[in-house]
Amino acid sequence: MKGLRFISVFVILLLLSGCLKTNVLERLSILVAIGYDAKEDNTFKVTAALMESQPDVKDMNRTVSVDAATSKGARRKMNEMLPHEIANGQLRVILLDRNIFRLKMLNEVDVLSRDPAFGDMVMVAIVDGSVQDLLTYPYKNKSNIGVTVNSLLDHNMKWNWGPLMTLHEFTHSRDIHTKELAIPMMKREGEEIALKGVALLHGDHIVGEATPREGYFLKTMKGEKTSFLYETVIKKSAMQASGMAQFLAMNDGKDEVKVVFHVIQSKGTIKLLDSQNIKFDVNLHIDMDIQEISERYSFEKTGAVEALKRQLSKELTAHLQQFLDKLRKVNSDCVGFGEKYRSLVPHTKLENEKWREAFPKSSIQGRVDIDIIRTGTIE
Amino acid sequence: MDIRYTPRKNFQFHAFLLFFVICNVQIGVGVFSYERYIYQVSGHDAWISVVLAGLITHLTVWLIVRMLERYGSTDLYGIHYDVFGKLAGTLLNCLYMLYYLCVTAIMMRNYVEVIQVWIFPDLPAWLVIVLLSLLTIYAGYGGIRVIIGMCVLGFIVILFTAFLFYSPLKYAIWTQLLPVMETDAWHVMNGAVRMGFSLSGFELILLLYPFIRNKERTMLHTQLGVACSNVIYLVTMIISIVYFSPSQLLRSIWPSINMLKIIKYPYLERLEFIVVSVWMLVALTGLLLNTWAITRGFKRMWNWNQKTMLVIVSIITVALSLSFEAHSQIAQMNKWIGKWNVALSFVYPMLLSCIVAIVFAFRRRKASSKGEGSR
Repeated sequence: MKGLRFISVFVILLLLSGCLKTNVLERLSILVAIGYDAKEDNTFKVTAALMESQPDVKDMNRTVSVDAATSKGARRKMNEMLPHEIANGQLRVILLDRNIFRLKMLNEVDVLSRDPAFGDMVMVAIVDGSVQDLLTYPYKNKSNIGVTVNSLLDHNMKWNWGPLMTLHEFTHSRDIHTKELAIPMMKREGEEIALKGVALLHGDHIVGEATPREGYFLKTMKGEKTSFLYETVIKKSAMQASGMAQFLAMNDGKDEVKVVFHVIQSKGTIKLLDSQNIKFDVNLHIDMDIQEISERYSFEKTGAVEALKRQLSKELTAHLQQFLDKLRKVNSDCVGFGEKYRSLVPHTKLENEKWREAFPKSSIQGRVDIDIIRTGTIE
Repeated sequence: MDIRYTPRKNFQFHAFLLFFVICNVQIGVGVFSYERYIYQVSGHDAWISVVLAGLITHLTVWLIVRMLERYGSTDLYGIHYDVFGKLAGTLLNCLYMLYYLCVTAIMMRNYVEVIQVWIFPDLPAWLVIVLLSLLTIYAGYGGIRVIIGMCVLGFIVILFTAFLFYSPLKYAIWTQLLPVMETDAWHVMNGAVRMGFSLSGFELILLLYPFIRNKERTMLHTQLGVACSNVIYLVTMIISIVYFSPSQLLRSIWPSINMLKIIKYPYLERLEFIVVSVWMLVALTGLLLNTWAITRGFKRMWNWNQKTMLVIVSIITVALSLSFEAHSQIAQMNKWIGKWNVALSFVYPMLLSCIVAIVFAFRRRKASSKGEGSR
């Protein structure tokens, strides 16, 4: 009796669950990267980099490009071109060209999060030039362009100055008006693809670009951990005040010294000093490890480290202030000063335009404190 | 029907197991989606609403257990008979049974919808509902002790899932919690009322009470269970406030699952698929306890066989949950049942405990005056 009951339940389970659609790895085209080029008539050129695992085929990568009005329309058209159905679950990168921003077609990226198959940690980047060209160019040294772009963005966002821009972050920043987007930008240069800088946005428009160094400042101010190889050139004439000049052991006649240091740890704090006139104070604290000085520097002498600290602090403060002024000039609050302001001043009801008008008029003072922790294996 | 009821010893269970029961039945499937409903009214002060609602739950539980202690060993069905007499008592009991029937159907439909949207878009609803019902009947046949065993398993699932919410914290923007109390008190209260849908279920203690072996520990373990689910609700609420932007949170239907999307291990990604599937254990305990409550009513009032009734009740819930298909209908039903949750899980038990207190005081005075009179 008991056996009969078990068998009947088993049979029912088999019958009820046996007819579902199956996804066999060999019969899927796995989407790794997808790129959108906007066209003047408000349609897209959608390019996809896919992976196919067929045992007997040597070239397992494939890129396809289709014209479509929506991304789901593109998916249908791609399915019509591919031997296997597209699987979205492994999508890692979304690439956008500049025109999407110019033509205000960003919503198409936003709606991707409606599909549960897409992860929220998909990275978003801008391509300087055509996305289709970047993905379909016949590279000699890259076996899978999707994977290459993914790895490139991944390590730069995680361990370097590239600002973290995932689909979640993208939607998040677009939703609130007190923070703007800063999206990493990449470019194909011949056979190579390189991360060039950061695009600064105002609303849905690209209004400026930031250099890698500024990308580092941006990340630190946002509180994201980042290590960075900071390179700076100091004029010898500017060294007198800090006292750094007297510790240069050999004078080789050049009028500048190059200093490279590695940021071990950095912490940024933003303080709202005056909520009426909107005054902010930004303080960065950097722990560093000196990696390179283009001239012999006498670290062993008393006061040498202090002088270097003073000098670097001055240089970095100037760089930071430059970046902060630039942000206000192009009116792109990608650090989130507005968010800070909203969180500290109750009942501000910062609406869309209000903060965007107020931001360029605000005053932001930057300061960098540094600590030299190490000088490598030599002094 | 006897008002007081003491089941046989082999049907009884220890009070500490109530902790697992309360956690499971309160958390259920509501935890996937409750954030946005609270956020809609309370804004970024939604966590205050959660705390407020939690405190009210503690109070309600305190009142309920105090009431049950007066009787010694009875359940809601018995109390109704005692306080309101046979006719009104039967009507109220039937109302509660109907309520549990609706809750079961809603729970089932909600969970099945999650499965359909997140994992198997092509899967027909009836299939999952029938499978779940078969499972409910199978486990329900084991009786209350098996049901409580399932709750322990469900709690393990809840515990492990709770740890997964650590990941979204990496992307938290803590300033989004500030400024505190920007929303006015009225809206915060309103948010607390909306928590009723998620927090309800603890009132099942009204039916489980006779089965507890060491009744003197009931209060402690029930309150602990409520505290545990309150903490889980509070933590998930805070995390979703700091993780999502306001409109992101308002747009996503299941914010809790969305937050699990980002968890990434070198060997495993997209854990929400696993969580949603394993969550069936938690959903199942809710179904089991609610159907048990219904069949218990039949048994108590008319002495009908609980096993037969379980099959019939399951068939009715299947029919009920299949009767609505679109998401808008489900959302509508959730809203509707949310109001009943507040009424039947919070307001009415509080009221009833007051009535019972008055009735007992009245009876005591009557008994003592009688005693004096006879002397």
